[in-house]
Parts: sequence; C-alpha cells; structure tokens
Amino acid sequence: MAAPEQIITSACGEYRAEVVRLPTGGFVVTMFRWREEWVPDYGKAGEFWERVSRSVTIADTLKRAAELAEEEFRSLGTTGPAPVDEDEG
Amino acid sequence: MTRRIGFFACGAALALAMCSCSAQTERDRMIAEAVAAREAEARATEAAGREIAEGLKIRAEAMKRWSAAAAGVTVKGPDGAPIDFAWTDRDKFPHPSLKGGSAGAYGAFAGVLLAFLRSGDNFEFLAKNKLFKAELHYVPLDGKVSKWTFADLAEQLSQPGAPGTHDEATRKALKEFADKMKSPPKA
Repeated sequence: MAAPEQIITSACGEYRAEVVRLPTGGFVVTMFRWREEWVPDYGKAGEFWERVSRSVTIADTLKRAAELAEEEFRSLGTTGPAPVDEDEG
Repeated sequence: MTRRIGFFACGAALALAMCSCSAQTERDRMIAEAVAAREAEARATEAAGREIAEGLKIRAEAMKRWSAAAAGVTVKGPDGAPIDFAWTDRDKFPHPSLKGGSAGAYGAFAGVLLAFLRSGDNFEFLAKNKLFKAELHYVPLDGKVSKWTFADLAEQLSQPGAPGTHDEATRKALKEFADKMKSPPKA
C-alpha cells in the first residue's frame, strides 16, 4: 500500500494519525501513540509507534479524514495541528 | 397486455436492482479488503517497532546486569588512570582489547564475565532471551567494528593458553558456562 497521504501529529507529540488513501477510493485513518520502553536503573531503552484504536475510521475525502483524526485526538484528550494539505482526494 | 407490460417492467426493475445491489456488494467487498490490507500493514509496522524496542529493552537489561557485575572492577590503563568495565553504551561492549589490552585487563574482564554469568538469574536471562550468541560489538567512530558473543568469550577465556591473569578456577568455571552455552537448556 502507498505511503500515508497525510500524517497529523498531535500538539503534545504523543499521538499521530496516519491517513492512507485506499486503492478503491476514500481514506483510512489509523491512530498511533508514541510508546517508550524503560528499564529501571537504566533509562529509556526503545521506542515505537503503537496503534491506539482498533476501530476502523474511513472517510470519503482527505479533508474529512483529517477532521476525523482531529476528533480522535480530542477523544484521546489532546489536539492536533491544523492539517497543512487541504486537497481532497 | 397491461398486465404483461407491468410484469416485464417489474422484472426489469428487479433485474436492475439486483445488478445494482450486486455491484454495491462487490464494491463493499473491495473496500473491506483494502481496509483489511491497511490494517494488516499498520499491525506489521507496529509489530516491527515493538520487536526492535523489545530487543533494545532486553539489551539494556543485559547491560545493566553486566555493569552491576563489573562495579568496582578497574585496571590500570596505559597512562596509569583506572579503566572500568561498565557497559553503558550498547555499541561499545567493554572488551579487554579496548581496555588497554593488558594481561591484567583480560584477567579482570574474565572475572567480570564469570561474576556476571554466576550472579542471580543472569544465565537464565541470557538463555531465555537467546543472548548466548547475540552479537556484542564495539563500533568505533571510524574503522572496523569488533564483534564478540558471550559464548565465544567464555570459551576463549577458559582456554589454558588464553591471555589474562585470571586463575585456574576462573578458567574452569568459564569452561563450564561455555559448555552449557553450547547446549543451552530447552525453553
């Protein structure tokens, strides 16, 4: 599958939404959370993006996908920056 | 006649509806497949990241345990300053060849290795996480990367002609661990 059409990072930097264009048309929004692995008496050992929501969010347009990502951010208690790319798919 | 036309019209409408319904079902199926593919990709991305992070976490735990075994052990460096064997950078395993390379450095390192393998559940930890033959390395700013494994180090330092000031008891104990690492217990 193609690289994400848009990646929106939350204002706090802890979450991100990847918006991927489906080959059938439309977009899927997948939410990730930055996860850090810590070892006591050592410190941070590793880090990766962990999926947050197991539910599938589909949108017809890139703009709507970005709006749904914003809603997801809000439901997670954070906010995302305004999407830069406003082109519709 | 009217009835017949009506019958035909009804049949045509039904056929159209079925065709439309079938197309919609096919489109839904394609979307579902595309979404499933994207979900699988997201899962794979997460799994790959998690695996790397988990590997780094295990390596960090090994470093912490090694440094605990090496605490307080020092040798005199070429300039007379003490050199320790703490493992604080995962790309800089404290091999004795990089700690002055003296017989004393090899001997002290052998002692640290034995203390590390003997301490607590360190040996089981290495076995469980398949670290006997995991690569330990030193990455210099430029030049060739040096690589070792715990199994090889225990074997090499247990040999009678191996460099180092460590005593016979240490050699024998390291040999026992080296043999156990060759045929580790089944998980």
